[in-house]
Amino acid sequence: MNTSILSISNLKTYFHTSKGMVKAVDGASYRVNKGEFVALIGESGSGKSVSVLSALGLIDTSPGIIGGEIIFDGNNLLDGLEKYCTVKSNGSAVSVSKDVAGWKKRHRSNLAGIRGKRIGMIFQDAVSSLNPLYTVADHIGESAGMKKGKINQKQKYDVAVEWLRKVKIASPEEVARAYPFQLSGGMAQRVMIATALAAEPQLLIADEPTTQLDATVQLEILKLLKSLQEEMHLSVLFITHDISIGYNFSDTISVMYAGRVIETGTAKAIFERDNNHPYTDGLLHAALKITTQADDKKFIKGSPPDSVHHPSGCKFHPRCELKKELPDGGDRCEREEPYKIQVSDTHYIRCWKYEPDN
Amino acid sequence: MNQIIKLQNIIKLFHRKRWLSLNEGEGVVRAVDDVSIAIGEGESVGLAGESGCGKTTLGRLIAGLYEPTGGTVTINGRNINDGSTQVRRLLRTECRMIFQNLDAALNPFMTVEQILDEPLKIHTKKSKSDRRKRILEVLELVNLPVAFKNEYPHTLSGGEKRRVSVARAIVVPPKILIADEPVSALDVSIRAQIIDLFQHLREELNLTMLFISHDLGVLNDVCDRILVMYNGKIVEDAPIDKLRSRTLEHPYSRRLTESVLQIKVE
Repeated sequence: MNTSILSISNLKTYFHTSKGMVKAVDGASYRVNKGEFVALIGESGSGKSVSVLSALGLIDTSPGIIGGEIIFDGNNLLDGLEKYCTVKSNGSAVSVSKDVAGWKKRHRSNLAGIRGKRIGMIFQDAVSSLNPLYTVADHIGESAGMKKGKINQKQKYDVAVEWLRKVKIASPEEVARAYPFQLSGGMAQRVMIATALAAEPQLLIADEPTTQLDATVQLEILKLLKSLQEEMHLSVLFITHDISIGYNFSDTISVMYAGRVIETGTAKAIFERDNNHPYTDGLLHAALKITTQADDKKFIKGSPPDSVHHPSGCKFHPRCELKKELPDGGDRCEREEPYKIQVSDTHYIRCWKYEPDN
Repeated sequence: MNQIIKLQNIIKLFHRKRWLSLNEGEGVVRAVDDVSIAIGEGESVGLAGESGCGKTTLGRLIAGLYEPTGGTVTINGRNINDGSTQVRRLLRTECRMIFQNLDAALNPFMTVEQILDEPLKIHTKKSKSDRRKRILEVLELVNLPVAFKNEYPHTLSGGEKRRVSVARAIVVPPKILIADEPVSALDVSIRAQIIDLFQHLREELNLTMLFISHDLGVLNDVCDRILVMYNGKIVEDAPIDKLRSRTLEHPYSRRLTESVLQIKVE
């Protein structure tokens, strides 16, 4: 049995907007085992980014995180936060009162020594995630300092050159002295990876790190991440909307839709395609790839649900074409939300189609 | 086949501030370097390449938004850079461009109806009620509800904004449509819907299309022919079947096809 390094269960993160309460993450659960490459797949607004930002304590607004558990290597990161936050729910309406200052203080102390040091993070937009006033060596050096204690400028530069060589940058001596705006997108992303890994974390969270890059550069970065992962025995949580990245690089896949994980399984189980959630199936069809003919493409109708007013029952039912094929014609899908139904040892799907009685 | 777009030895140079670049280089960028292509009427051509290779610049040269440093652009038999206002005016109705950046392309102070009305006001002599009728027709064509005409761009989702920008491009029916990365900012499921829209429009309006994209998967779905661009030059010009069978010849095109992550469906 693998031990998990990050386990998120029943996480709820809400935001207050002028349109009402946005349920960005609404009861999501997933886990990352030690040494595993996990792909978290979903479209924009599905809550995939918000769930990891919650784990890293980067969301400190009210309501923000209102419930659930985030356990990193045995430490509950949300430990003792309940007393700062009271949630009253009245049907679908939720009201939250939160002592933001106290909550933030406690959350920060929970994360001390973990964030940055034991969990590294790479963001989508590398160029704007780097501080324009500091050189590449400063970034990598600061991160390495978290592991080694305070280090001076010369040491920072040496560490940076060493890491830049590891992430395969052509002229590391020169790039270490460069400022972020002088880097190209692919180079900036490599610097980001070096910065996150210089602290030698146990878990690396990558939030769509390759979306803005060219196809050729994307492949290089992904291969680099994969080889570093194997070399350093890292666990990686890779957030992406591109299911083909999941297919080619990951061990386990979780698919998110409307704030929940609707399917989890090993990459093998999901891509065997015997059993899939209809949404995952749609994503697989929509993955535009060469060699398939244009005509045989199915696509998911409609658009992702409004995050303020989620549909009743199964969140996917208004777009689902499968529900008509069920014995009750999809009545239950509209009324009742499916639970996590186990279809094999490592494969769970939230869809009534896979209920044992069906 | 009638050659509707013809480029002869096009060169476009940009001047760059030297201190901005990490590499000590010349202060001049050759964005498009001696490109000659011809596109026939009704053809759908894909332009592929990595960022910075000059794809967008080439698209804008064809749409007449940049003036070439050298060479001639001939659209429908007319040299578009001969300085004649009349040719320019015709060009704007014949050849429309869909821009990459959705938020910059739609005026935030105008409603969808006003956005769609503008090209009609400029390029046609239709009465107000005729224009209104045409706007409703076009909204239907791009699958947007009529109620959207009173919305402002910021209230729309990415896919809806894209539909509005497509609607604006076809509201005065063009002959040529240049789409610059039309789906790169969209979610996978929405992306498939927009591609379906383009295929539908092409049949409906008999358009000549130039698709600019770095995503070969997208080009595979909408194009008959593919041009691969590298460092300002067209390095390969091949029918789409060559992409599907993965027999593109130039080493760069090969690398590009190999970079596309594949899901094998048995």
